[in-house]
Amino acid sequence: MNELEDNVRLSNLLKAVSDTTRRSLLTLLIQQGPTRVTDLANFYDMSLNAVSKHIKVLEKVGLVTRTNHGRVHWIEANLEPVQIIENWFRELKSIWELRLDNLNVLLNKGKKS
Amino acid sequence: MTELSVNITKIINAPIEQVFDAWLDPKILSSFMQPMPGMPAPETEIDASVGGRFLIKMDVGDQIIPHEGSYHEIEKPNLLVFSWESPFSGEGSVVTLNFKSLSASSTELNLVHVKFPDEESRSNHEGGWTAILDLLNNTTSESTSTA
Repeated sequence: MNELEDNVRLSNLLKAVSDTTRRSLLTLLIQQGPTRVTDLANFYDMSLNAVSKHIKVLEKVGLVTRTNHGRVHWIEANLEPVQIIENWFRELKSIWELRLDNLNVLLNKGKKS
Repeated sequence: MTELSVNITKIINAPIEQVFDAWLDPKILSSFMQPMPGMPAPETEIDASVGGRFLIKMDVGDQIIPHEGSYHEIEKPNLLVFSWESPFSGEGSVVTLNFKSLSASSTELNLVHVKFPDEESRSNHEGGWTAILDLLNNTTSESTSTA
């Protein structure tokens, strides 16, 4: 069950960062530190509402956090979950390496002579 | 690793045609496409044509996880490009295989598995994953050096 939860989390994370605007938002937030939603929206040629939706997707998977000061919402990047994606890629790499090793062994088996 | 892709180069001790053909032969494919170490060979179905699809049913013990995709480019014996869809990897990733003949009996095989394939090349600076990881590495090394 734990593994399933990890898989769901990974899948959600990958979906969240599979969008260019959201990756761009993350990049901005890392560069600028905590930023107001309205200021973030100014960087994009889209409505405040649309940018706000992207931020919510990132927030849901924990890639950004939100702090409210009255009516002003500050958004901050949180890159801890990125580690999960990196780990997944490391695993993917070792699996492909295993398969290529298999292939080499397999193709060598046929020619004993 | 600083980008969202896997890049592996391996020398296979077999002629280039044989190495290439192995990827499009369901029987051979299933005998090297292990889901993970110690797991049984998967069942495979292959329609080896551009636009054709393949299906690899990976048996990981308590469940069967289908991996599938379609062939984007088939240029025997040098290039094979296919999409790779697995249930947990979200949408869209592409595997590119480049085959280079080194001698009559050895082939260099380069495998690149990229996530976000189209967007990555379109907007490397503005929304690229690499850019994010670079920034992340910079910030973590800064904070460790000041600590």
